[in-house]
Amino acid sequence: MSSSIASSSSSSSSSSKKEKKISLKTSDGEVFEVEEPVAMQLEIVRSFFADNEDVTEQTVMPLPNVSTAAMHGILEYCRAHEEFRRRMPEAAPEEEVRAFEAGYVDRKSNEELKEMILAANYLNISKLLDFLTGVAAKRIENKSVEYVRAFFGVENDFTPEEEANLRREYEWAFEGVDED
Amino acid sequence: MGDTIHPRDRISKLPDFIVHHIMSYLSVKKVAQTGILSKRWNYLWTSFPILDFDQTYVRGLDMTCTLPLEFTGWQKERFNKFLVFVDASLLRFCKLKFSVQKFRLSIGPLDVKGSSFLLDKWIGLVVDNEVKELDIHLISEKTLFYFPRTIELDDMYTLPQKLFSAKSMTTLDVCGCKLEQSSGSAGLHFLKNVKLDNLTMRPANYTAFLDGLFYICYPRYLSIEAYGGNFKLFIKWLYRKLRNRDAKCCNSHAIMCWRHYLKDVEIECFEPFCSEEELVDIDNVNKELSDLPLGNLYFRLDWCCFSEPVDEVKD
Repeated sequence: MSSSIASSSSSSSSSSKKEKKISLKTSDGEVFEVEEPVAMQLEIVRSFFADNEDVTEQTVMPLPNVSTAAMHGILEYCRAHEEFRRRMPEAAPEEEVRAFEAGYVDRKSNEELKEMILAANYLNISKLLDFLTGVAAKRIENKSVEYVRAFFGVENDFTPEEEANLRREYEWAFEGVDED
Repeated sequence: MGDTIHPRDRISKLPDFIVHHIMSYLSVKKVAQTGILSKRWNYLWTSFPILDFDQTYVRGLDMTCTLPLEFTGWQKERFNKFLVFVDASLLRFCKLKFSVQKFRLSIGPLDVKGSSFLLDKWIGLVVDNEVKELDIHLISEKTLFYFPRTIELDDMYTLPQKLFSAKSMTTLDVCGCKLEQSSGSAGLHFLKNVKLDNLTMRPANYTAFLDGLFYICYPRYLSIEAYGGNFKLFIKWLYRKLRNRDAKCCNSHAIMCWRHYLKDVEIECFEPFCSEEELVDIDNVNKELSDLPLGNLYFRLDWCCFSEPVDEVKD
């Protein structure tokens, strides 16, 4: 089978050669040494190394818009997906991926989730951004207006009359909603 | 210092497109609710490029595919209010001059003659705003909801000619409307997916319909709803027509019809409405066309380059 050839060649190349690491520096100054295939999932990193001829393996790439906390979350996700890809290069083990992703976001607070959305956007990891925005949507779908305001940290700048008018205009959208 | 910024302040600066990204996973009702969060969010809601209007979201109007065929007094009032809402939302969005990603409208029962002015206006607006996906599901007042569902073409809404200038359109999904082009040639080059539902017509009209459709576009995928006896008859006819093209028709003309450009046709897949239905084996689908369960049948069409028509056509 072609799959066995592919997996044996990839494992031999990764074990024989010393794994290449990429250094990434977060907004609060911490430097992360990241395995190359994991770092390359970050589109911003991939294009930085692809487009700049004068960067070397020693180059530390600054990521001023990403906090250390967000970086830990991002790398956990990317490492898990790299592991899935390495183990099953042809088709990801869907159930395992789902189980990982569910457990992964359950541990994140709303604040952490939003921070990671911003980081995933800045780092340009479209798969993670799709996943996290979907999770954010799930967290607010059946929630009250007040909950959603708090979730996004929105200050209500409507007067009570303005809000009442809007509620009248969108009346259909507020029918049969369980406020919780 | 970066870490002095409170997370809340940063979140309030979530770029518009990320908010829209989150909105794309939310139900239509929920998206509309975000319009009252704050002034900025009202703008974010107004500028959300997926314009999805389905009357079943409105309580009291969520009775599709069931009798009666007419609204009662209070339903009529709610329905008219919904139309006003659709109109106002579309006008607000289109004033912003952003492209429409998707316009979906699902309404009825409808007085087709009385409403066509409004429908023409809405489709015109989204076409002017470079609509990519258009999904129009109408139920005419005259539709009968028992098998076989029959509605004569005369009682259907005719999509406006403006539609044929929708150059950026990639997906067209219509149900209960007529597609007819009165002049000009095919211009919808980006149109790759065409889905046609609730197409009930007499067998005498089949050829005119197919010629009309392929006059305006050369879709990669064509999906037909298999629903009731007439549809099966139509699907069988369609598959035979697509496979065995008699192209002696316009050999003497410089401009030739679609039969000269269609290279190949395959049945791509069959999606049963009821998931418990057994999957239909595509290899046997030709034999089983008359036994298909309810569902959507997808054809994949291969067109050749339009400067070089296919020389030989099967008969």
